[in-house]
Formats: sequence, structure tokens, C-alpha cells
Amino acid sequence: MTILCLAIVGKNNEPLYLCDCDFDKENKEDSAVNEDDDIFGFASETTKGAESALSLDNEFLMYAALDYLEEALGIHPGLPSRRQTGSHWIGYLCPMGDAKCYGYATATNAKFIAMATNDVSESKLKILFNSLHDLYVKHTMNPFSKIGGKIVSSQKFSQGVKDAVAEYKKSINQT
Amino acid sequence: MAPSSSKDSSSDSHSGHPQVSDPALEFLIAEIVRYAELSCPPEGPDEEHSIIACEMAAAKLERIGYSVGYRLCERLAQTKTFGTTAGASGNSAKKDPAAAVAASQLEAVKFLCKEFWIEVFRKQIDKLQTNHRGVFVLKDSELRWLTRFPNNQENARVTAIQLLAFPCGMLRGALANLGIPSVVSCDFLTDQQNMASCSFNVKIK
Repeated sequence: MTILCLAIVGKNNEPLYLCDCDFDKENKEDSAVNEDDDIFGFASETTKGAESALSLDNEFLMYAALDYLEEALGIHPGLPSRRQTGSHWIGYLCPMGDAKCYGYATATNAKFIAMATNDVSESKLKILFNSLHDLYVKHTMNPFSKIGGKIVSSQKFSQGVKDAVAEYKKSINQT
Repeated sequence: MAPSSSKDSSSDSHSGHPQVSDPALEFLIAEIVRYAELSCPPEGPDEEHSIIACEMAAAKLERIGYSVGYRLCERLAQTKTFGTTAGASGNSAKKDPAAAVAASQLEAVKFLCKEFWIEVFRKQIDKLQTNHRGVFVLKDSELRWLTRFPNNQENARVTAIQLLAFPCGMLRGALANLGIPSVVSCDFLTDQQNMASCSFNVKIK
């Protein structure tokens, strides 16, 4: 039911923002990232702004999901695009163990991926993606942010993500 | 150029439409041009040096414009979906892939001519021409930022051409954000009366 992790990937498939969504746990265990676990250096960089980074396992799962998302966007000839007119929502991508991945792609080809455990509510996930998109646009509109750069040191952004995820969890619990 | 102000007003970027006063924006643009000129002083007394300095200032303006266009495009495309941008919505996948790419490019350029231009200049591009092979010519007979320039003056002409590097960069940035790398150049189509007429040549790489 709950959402496990989120990834925002840029138009050239560069990782912009990755995070685990168990914000409550973050302080209790492994808040210090083991450097051996983090061969690509994302975790150590993301920790600066976001406090919680993506664990290595989830990171690989996210990249696997990204392949599915690209396929759904129709970059390969012969495979139809699953883009719908009037919506950025792509939808269910693939199973990942006992979780499922969902995708969302903007008109400018920024890609959002969320991994959630089973029986997730799609309509609520859409709301979550919309607010993430809004945060992303606001971050891009900031003239001091780097174009195509990782979203690392923005407190406002990571707080916004936390709030959006908390909102999502709340709406799930209500039903 | 309303959305540039919505950077700060994060609370109501969608509901209320924050606006910028027109004269203030024009003064700002004029100051940006002057700043670009001053920050690239000629390195020597020759005419050659001053031409290089002029080019550098224009390149600087172009880069500022790129950043503005890129960011603005992200905002304006937020509620937009490009049906064929991916190049493969049901029908177009069956067609020639090159035709699908051309169609998506045309769609992106039309988006710039209409929504993007209206947001910045409150009017559409007057004329769009294309050879369907990746070259687009966008003609605007009355660019808002150029209407105040005096007629028939050589230095006004020079400044106007320099200022035009900014919208060139904006177009390039917006197209880059839509995944279309391009080169944009501009022509100043002045007759003696009208200083505000110009055209942008977009060449997609």
C-alpha cells in the first residue's frame, strides 16, 4: 500500500533526484551511507540536501523500471507509445518483487518513477505525481538551479517531496 | 512575460496569474543589453577588437536567453502534452519515421509561435515558414521590445540586433528543453519606418 521510493530522471536519462520514502526511519538506522555500497556516488551527494538517499538495491530496481518506462514512451520503433493525449500519466510499468513500478513523463521528457507495494491506488498516485511535477517545474524555474543538473541542495524541493509523500500516505490511510 | 515572476510567488502560480509591469521589463531588458556590453569590453583599439567584443556580448545575451527559454518552457509545457512528440503515437509509428519526427518538430515550433510567444510578447508570431526539412523561419512584424527604438539611426540598429540575441537564445533554450537541438539566428527586417520587424531562422541540427 505504501510507496517505497521515487526517482526523477531527466530527458537524457540522467538521474536528477532519487530517494527512499521511509522518511520516518531515516534517523534510526543507517543514516550514514556506507561508501562501499554507493559505487556511483549518488547517495553521498543526495544526502546533503535530502537526508534520505536511495539504497543501492532500489537504485538498480529504478533503472530497470526506467527501461520499461522508455519502452512505454515509444522510443523503440515498432512498440507503440503509451502516452495519452492530455495526460502525463504512463501508468503501471513492471513488477519488482512484491512491489510495482509506476511511471509518469512530462512533455519535456523528464521522467518520474515511483515504486509502491501492491494494491496501490492509481488515482492517488496520479495526484502525487502531479505535485512532484509541480515541484520539479518550480525547481527548474529557479534561475540559480543548474539546467539538467542533479537536484541536490534544495531544501525546499526535498521538503516538498516529503510533504507530497506524506499527503499521499495520509490519503491512502483514510480509505 | 508573466511566468518569470511566478518564480517567487510559489503559492499561486496556477490560480492567480502574476504579472510584470511592461515598462519595468523593458528597462530590465535594456539594462541587460548594457550589462552584456560592459562586461565584454574590447581588448584593443582596433575595429576588429570591437567587433569581437560585440560578438561576445551577443553570445552572452544569447546564453542568458537560453536559460530563460529553457526554464520558461518547462513551465509552459507543464499542462501540455505533445501527442506526437515521442514520434510514435499509434498512427505516426506506421508512417515513415522521418515524417513523424518532422511532425513532432513542427508541433514544437507551433507551440513556441503560439503559447510561448504569447506568454512573452502577448502576441503570436505573425508568419511561420518551413521547408519541412528542419528549417523554420519565424517572422514577427512588431516585436514588443523593439517598438521604442528610434527610426533611421545606426546605433539604434546595432543595439537592436544585439538585443535580438536574447529572444534567439530563448527560442534555442525552449527547443532544447523539448528535445530538439537547434541553431537560431535572427534577421532585422527594418524598412525606414518600422524598427520592430524581425525574423528568426531556426535550423534544427
